[in-house]
Amino acid sequence: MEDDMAVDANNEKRVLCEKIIRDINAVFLKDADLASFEIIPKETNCNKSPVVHVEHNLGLESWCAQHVYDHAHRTLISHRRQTSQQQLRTLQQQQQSDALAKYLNVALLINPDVTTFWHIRRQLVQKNRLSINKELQFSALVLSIKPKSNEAFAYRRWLYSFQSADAIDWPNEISICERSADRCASNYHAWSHRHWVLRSGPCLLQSELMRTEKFLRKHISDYSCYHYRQVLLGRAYELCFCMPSGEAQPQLGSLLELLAEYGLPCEPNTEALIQLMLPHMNRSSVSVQRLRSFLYCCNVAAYDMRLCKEQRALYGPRDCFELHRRAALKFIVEQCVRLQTEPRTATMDNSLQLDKFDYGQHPFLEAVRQAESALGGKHQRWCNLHLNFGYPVAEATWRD
Amino acid sequence: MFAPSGSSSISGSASASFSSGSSSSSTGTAASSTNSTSVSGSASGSAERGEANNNHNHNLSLQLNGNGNNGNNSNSHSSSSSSVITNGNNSNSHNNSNNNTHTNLISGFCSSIWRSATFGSATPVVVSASAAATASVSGSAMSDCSSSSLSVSPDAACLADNDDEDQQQRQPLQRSEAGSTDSYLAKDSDVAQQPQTFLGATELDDELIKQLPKEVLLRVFSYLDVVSLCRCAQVCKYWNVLALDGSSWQKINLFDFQRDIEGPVIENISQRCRGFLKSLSLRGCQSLGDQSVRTLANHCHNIEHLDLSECKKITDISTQSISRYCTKLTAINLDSCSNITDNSLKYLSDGCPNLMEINVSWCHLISENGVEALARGCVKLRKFSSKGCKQINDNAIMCLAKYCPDIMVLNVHSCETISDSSIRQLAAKCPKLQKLCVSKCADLTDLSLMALSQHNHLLNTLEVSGCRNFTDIGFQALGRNCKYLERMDLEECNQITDLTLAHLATGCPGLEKLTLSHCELITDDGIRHLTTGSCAAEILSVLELDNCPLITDRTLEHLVSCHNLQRIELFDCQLITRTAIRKLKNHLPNIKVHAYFAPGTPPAVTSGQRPRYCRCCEIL
Repeated sequence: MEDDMAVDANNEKRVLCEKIIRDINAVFLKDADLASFEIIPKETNCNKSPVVHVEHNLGLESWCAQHVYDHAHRTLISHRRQTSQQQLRTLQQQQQSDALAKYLNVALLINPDVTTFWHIRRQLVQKNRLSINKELQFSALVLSIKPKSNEAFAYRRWLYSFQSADAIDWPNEISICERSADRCASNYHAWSHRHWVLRSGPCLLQSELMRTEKFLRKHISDYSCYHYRQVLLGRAYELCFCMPSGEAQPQLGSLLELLAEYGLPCEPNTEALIQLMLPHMNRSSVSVQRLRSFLYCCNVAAYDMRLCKEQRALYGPRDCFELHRRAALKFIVEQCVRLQTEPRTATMDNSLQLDKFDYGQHPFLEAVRQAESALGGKHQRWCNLHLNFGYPVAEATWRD
Repeated sequence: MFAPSGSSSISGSASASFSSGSSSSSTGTAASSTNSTSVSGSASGSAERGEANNNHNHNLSLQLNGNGNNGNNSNSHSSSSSSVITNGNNSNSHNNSNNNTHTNLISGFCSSIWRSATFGSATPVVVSASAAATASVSGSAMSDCSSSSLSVSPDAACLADNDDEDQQQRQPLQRSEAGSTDSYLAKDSDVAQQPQTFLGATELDDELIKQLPKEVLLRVFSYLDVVSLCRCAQVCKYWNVLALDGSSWQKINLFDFQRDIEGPVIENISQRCRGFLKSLSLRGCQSLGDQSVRTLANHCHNIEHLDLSECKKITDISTQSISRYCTKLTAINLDSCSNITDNSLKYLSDGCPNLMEINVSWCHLISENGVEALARGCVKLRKFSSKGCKQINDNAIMCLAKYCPDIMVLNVHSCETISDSSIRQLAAKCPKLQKLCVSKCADLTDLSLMALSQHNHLLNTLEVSGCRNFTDIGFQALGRNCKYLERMDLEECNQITDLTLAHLATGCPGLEKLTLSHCELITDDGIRHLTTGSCAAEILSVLELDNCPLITDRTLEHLVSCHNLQRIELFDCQLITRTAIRKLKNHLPNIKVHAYFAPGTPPAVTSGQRPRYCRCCEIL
């Protein structure tokens, strides 16, 4: 009797889970533009379907999530347990692979971390059972519930490997990354994906610089964003990027300000700046484009340094401001040195030998060196280490 | 696992009955026969395997009997025995039995049959000690071993390998397990290494085997299923011929081997079985093509039931050959063979006048022309199913009605253009109509129902889901006249009200299954009528009320009196509560209630902190 009841209960549970999965599938079929998914916390329930579909948002009440997930999980794992031949057969049949997709949708929405299920999806895509566009949409859906899901991002990248670079909607990717980063602090995976976009996609540097600045102002302590901005800067310089300027004199206000801070007032024109910052450079070995890019990037770096100073004034001293300022400083100094010593080497080459460089010879860098020494022992130590400024090492004070 | 019943026991009325005892009954050799087979010659034909120590003395029609103690043939064969057949008739003699040669011959010979069936070889087996150990006393273990030793791969492709089996006679052990990795077989092959028994037995065995008349073997084989027959066919050449003789293969169902079935298999079957093949099911064999069916039709002229559903590659060419050669065809199933067109129906009407059942569901190319041709040609048609064929229209149904008055089952699910005119004509002309499915034919109105009630009193299954125009009036008429209604699907007939249920309750005492999903006007009262009707108490078993928003707990209270109720669907009936379901389950413990309630006990409701009271103060 007990067993019968248990069997009956199992049967009812199974029927219930199947019905809920069917309901979710119906929503997927009906609404091609599903934007978000949520689990609605609800402990008790009445005899109503737990699947809630409002505009383009899908919700599942929490009382059934566990059971439905169990059921879907069990089905998918049993599929995986078959021999690979049997699995292939299942994947090849339209009906059965549709059924599998049904379970996958539910299982991955409730628990997006299971790599095995993503792999089954990949298999289905390879057998042309799922369309790539829908899959991109699905992964966006998963990101709406779990913005930190590496699986979803990796899946997107994998899907994009089947498409040519022109066909991909890069701004959309950026916006997805931005949204995910927005929802979750220091979202490593979202920013990594953004790095990937940066590397693989077309040149979006201008907009990216703007967006990251806005992001920084909003999320002041998001280390991933700072890192991304540093990478952006490096990439911009690497690509010899600069503002397409119609005018003869590009806008380099921040750089001029920085120079002024360092006590080196300068004429606001390119020639004067180059003369000031790169006195010993061999002009012939460096292209005009690179020089312009150099000025532009230094301007950006200077802007960042000022931004950090402002932020610090606004929010109090924070490590992230310091670190970013140092990174910007390092950029300026390093590129100055590089252009003057080995202008032809790659910008990202780490073999730059700063220790051989004599700062005394260069007014700008000397001024920088002087100015930076006033910023405290810790900063001095950092400058010694990374920029080889050669400050006299003070007694180690742990408080700085 | 046990092989199908045939493999370890051969039953047939003409066979000798020897039930051998267990190993304990034979002495002399450590290796005693661990395999007993009970060969019961009873008319019941049921396998009695593993009966140790049964003494069956049956009078056998073929004079194989004659000996009083036929029982207890424990086949213990010592390696020293050169006269191979040792049926230790008695528990103490372990070799050459004694009684009259006649019996000895037959018994020995039957034991060699058994042996062949068991080990795939005619050699007596000196079962190694290990094997003896494993197959111990229990008969079930024995038959297990015997069956497992026969576990060749059940691939029907063995049919294609027949010619290879000529060589198989003396090398059965190694070859017979085409792919089987049974460890017991491994032991067998060990056994086969023992030179003496392997070679010494053969010639005598051969003769003995051949002395059993073919008819006997054939009769034996006629009880076996496909898998066992294939295994037997791999035993030896003689058996091969007999096992694959058509008479045993009159009815074949290859559904289990679906995807493995390919053209050559069918061609082999058809060549072997020829005129014997009567019923063949190739459902789901997706790699099957026209060529194979053509071969089949060419050779098997007597085929009566042919199931080709889901064989997606089949085209009209197949039906053409079927119609040309298989005039005795009575039932054909072409479900989901989407390449079938009207031409197929024309061929069938020309060639198969005896056709009684046809299923062309989901063959979307079928249209009225084909159906008309079919109806004209196959006037004996009883079951016609064209679910999902959107081109089937009123004309088609009217032709069917006109020419096939014997129609009993008609399924035109999703044939959306069907309207009242054809159904009324169908009702009028086909009084024997029992099952009608017109789901999703939304144009139908009460007129159809009234026509049905007027003419078709034998109606027992009516599926009209999605027919939104039906109202109480139609069902009133039905309830009045169609007393034999058992299953009704009224999903989405959203105009019907409690009145319908009242009429059905009074008029249909045999109602077993009633689906009222999405019938939004049904209330508790209607169910009350139903439960007080004559069908409720003992007969009603499935009730589907999902998405009927007016159903409340009172319904469940009414349903307490339906003792045979097995399943009830209550999805989305929002007024139902958990407690009511629990009460219902208390009364009807076997019922399955399908609703959106979370399984298991509901979690305890945490209503926040209870106010705590200190003894002295009021509230802490």
